[in-house]
Amino acid sequence: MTTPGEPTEGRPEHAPFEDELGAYLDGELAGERVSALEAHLSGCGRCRTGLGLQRAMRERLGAEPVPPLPPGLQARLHTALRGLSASDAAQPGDDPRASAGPVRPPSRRRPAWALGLAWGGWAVAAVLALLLVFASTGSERARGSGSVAASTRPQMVDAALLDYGGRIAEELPAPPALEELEARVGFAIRPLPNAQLVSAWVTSLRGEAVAALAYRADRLLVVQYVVSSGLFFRNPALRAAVDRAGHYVTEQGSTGVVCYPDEQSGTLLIGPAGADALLALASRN
Amino acid sequence: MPASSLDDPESPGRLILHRFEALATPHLASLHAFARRRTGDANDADDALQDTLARAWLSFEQLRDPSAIRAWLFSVLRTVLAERVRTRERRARLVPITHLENQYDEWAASGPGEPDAFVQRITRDELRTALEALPEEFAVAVELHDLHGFSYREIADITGAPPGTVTSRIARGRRLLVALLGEARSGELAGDGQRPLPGMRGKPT
Repeated sequence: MTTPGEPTEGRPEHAPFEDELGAYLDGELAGERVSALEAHLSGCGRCRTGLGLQRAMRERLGAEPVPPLPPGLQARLHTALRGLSASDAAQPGDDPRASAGPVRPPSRRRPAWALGLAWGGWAVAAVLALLLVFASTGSERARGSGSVAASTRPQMVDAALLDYGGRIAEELPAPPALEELEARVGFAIRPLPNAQLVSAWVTSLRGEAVAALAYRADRLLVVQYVVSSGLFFRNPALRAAVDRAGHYVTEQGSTGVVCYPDEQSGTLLIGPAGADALLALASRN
Repeated sequence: MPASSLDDPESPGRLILHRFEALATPHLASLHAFARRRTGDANDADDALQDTLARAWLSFEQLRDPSAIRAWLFSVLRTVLAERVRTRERRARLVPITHLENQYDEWAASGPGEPDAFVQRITRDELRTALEALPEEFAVAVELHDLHGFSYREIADITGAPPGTVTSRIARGRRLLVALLGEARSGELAGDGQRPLPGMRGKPT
């Protein structure tokens, strides 16, 4: 409760202290500021109330349980990771985008703990040597005029490869009606006319709804991701490749990717074949 | 890397993947809960978590200290969420901060009231709704500290904000949260005959 003579009105005189009440309560306030705040608290009912409020809110929030993962999600995530690894290998170090927060500058040398500290020095040296080989050969390889460097590969393509890796390791769903897919993604879909459709689903790439259609073609299972034109042309490197060659191609390990624009959308064709074979398949459709 | 080499449990790629999964798996539920609150949609949260794991795996070698895996995964998730258009669109509909600050001021200037009793009666649904309506930068700071237990220093690393900004965001975020909750429960509070909390209609007596 406030007492006569205490400052009770207006934010300006309280603002510096009110914004430090949380840190004071949490033990995160610097020593010199603790003394100043405690001196202020001794004569300010409003800030004492504010401190009580901070404590009550923190305790209420802290009592909230963390809900478990939705059923099946953990298994799906692990499957996707294995698919990503197996299809590429997209090995650690391939993606320069995830450098946020406490992430340190990239280093090509794997930290010893990641390899298991119990390993002997010879084992660690052998693994490092193998990793150097993989780093130089396992990533995207340079291709013709429609290719771009791995470091500039569109995030959309990475996301599609991740979805592909996870899906092909699972039982595929029966394909819904084309109209249903179009209604869910919001744009027209042009399936490959000369391939046998075996499955289809809607997924999300870069936060946008995307249709995925799986086909049997040339004794292979290939997946066509149909994305909006806006998403397809978002990446400048992909735009440049399409300008030059009419398509963009890349490979990860034994998995090929061909990207080309349609009239109202864009297609990413992914399958367990070289990009040349996929490009030939696309040209027949 | 040939796919077959990953079938070998002793292959370097498989061992590193196992190491990554062993470090990341304990934090999946927290990451998903954070993404669920930030996106407001379960499917979006699933997608964000999948993107996060993929990016984290691809830049795994940048993680120098395995004990920092949790903060590091949250920082990657923050980047993923920031790129999602839907989050930005949702945040554009939020209540203006000034409105909430004024409500808190009105209540705080009139006396202490009973914040403990009020806060303890808040239901889970009310809390979830208020957190989703809270402006993004405040909600993130409060959630990371009070729900997920990160230190101020770690929150500064995750969000890229200076430590002083984290300090003010947590304190202000809690105040704004109470103002939002008070607004949502103003009728019940008035019926209790308690001193009005922020958001109550009319001037406190």
